[in-house]
Amino acid sequence: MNAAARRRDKGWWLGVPGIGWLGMFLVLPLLAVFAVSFLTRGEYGGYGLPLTIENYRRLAGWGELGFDPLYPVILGRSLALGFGTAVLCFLLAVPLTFFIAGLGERRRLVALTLVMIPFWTNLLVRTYAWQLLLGPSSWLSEAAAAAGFISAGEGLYPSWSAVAIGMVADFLPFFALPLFASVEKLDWTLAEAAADLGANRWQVFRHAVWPQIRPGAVTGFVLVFLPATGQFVIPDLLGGAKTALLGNAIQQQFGQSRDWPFGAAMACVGLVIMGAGLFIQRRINRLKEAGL
Amino acid sequence: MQQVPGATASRKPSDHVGAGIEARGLVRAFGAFRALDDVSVSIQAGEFFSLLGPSGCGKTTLLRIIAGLDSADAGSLSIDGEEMLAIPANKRPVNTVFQSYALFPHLTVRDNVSFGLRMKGLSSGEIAPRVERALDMVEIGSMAARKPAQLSGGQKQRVALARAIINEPRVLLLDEPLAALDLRLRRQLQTELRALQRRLGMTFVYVTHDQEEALAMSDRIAVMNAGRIVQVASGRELYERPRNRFVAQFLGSCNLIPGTVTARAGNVLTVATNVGPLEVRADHGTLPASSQVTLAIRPERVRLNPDVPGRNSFSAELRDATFTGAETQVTLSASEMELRAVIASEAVGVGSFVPGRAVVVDLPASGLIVLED
Repeated sequence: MNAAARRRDKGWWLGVPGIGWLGMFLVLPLLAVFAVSFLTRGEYGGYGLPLTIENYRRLAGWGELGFDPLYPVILGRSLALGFGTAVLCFLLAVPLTFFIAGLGERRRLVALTLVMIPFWTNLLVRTYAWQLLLGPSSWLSEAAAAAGFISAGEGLYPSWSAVAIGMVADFLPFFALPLFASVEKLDWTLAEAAADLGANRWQVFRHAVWPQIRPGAVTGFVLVFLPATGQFVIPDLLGGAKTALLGNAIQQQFGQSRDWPFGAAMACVGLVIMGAGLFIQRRINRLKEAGL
Repeated sequence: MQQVPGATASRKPSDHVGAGIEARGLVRAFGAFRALDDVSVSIQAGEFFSLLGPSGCGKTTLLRIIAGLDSADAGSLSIDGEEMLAIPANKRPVNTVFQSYALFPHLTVRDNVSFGLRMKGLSSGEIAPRVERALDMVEIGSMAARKPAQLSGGQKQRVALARAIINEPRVLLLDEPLAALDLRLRRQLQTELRALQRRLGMTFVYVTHDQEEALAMSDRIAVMNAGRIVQVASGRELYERPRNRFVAQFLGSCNLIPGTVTARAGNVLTVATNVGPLEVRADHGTLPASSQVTLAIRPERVRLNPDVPGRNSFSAELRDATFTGAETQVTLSASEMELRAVIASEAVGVGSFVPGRAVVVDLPASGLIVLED
């Protein structure tokens, strides 16, 4: 063992407070949720024995009235919302970060601050602001009507477009900042080398630029996809509260329906799916690194 | 290391791979700074041509303009008679070896080397044997499966070279490719690069700030300073007949002696200097009497205590003598001027060179150069 490794070994106690905190307030509650998901709902809310996998059966679609894919659809819709948001953020963040990286030092700071500002603003305030901006007689709606996207007199809100706008506005900083970190330290001589070796513009991006910014893009994607999948405030407020999503479905089980075991099962399935996604993404990255 | 002058003449006429380059009036400004200021140069097909100068002299900018990685504000550039400035880098018949190597870190050596052929859309059946040949040519066949991070500096250099020459460019551009390597490896790769260039017959344009490297490798050298080409000639001619102070001092060391022309007889000038009148041969230019000139002489051309004093002899005081092995470096002072001389150590008698001693100095006319400024 070399000196550095020995020093690293001796420093284990530095992690005790953090690990203790996480164990107490994250791992234990998660284990509790996991345990509750196998219990039975009591008559007046609450939960108790016997142990059962009924909650998971119900979640998969086998309810008291036969097969109904309501919950798989909710889950799928949530994943689609998260995925769609992440893709839209990616498409916007790539040109945006290249633009910012090309600015002078002072302007770059201003631009990054502008990207950050929504992140520091209260989510509800921001979302209500979008309601106003996208409402029937707003200039944005009138412009959209003039361009033929919607009929005159209608508003952009409530609609899926409004949800998309609100989601992207909310999550773009999470994508743009890690991506910017990659774009900023991009080695442009690699792009020059690729062009020198006969690569056209697309090939230069694909073979010399993309491999360098991919770590930032993957981080950004995960940072957007995971919380966007569980997001329900924005779809509720901008989509017209007509569609159930994973987030509000769970909230409903723990709240109005007072069915904690079923809500816990939903939360567990959501966690497992996201964990599996992360695992697969890391596996792909490792295989890519190994050159496969 | 091999001396190079005359190499162009010895090349076989069958080698017609390389292309000639013709630059006319190239200008490139970055804000108020003129990186290139009206540069014109002709590079012969199949020539090993070096761009030599201090950092910031514009040599890399000129190379990048030839590669198509930078644009010119004015002027023209043709390769093999074809106008190039409007053609993007990926369509030019040139490849570049970058100073930082610029290897793709996520690709193996083999995939780095095959990159250019893959971009051209060649089939893997065509690519594989050419990659093997290119790897063998630079002797890194055994490293094919490695990533650049697992290679030493010299090995990276070889990969960068293989990655460029596999595309069989008409012109290979090299931007200080050996600058990051240690001296011994640099010497070895200089010899290999030179041999490779002769074998392939490609035109090499080689950027360096190392005058020894340029002298050792090049057929011809363009000395650059402040965005201009100062002189283009073979290494030997640059060394023996520098045109001005800059070239004289940039290549090797030089004694500079200011003076005034007093007489001219044929092509022999008499120049009045601090150390007395000196006779000089002036091949170029017309220098009327009483014009101010600077004379230059290499330290190894200065003769001490000659058997027969010449016309350009005078006495001086010996200041210092440093034994460095085969040579002894001598510092002299004469009429408040300092002169340096390098003489063979075997010619120095033991104890004869002690500081303060008077010596006779001779500056032979054949070693004296009249500079333009």
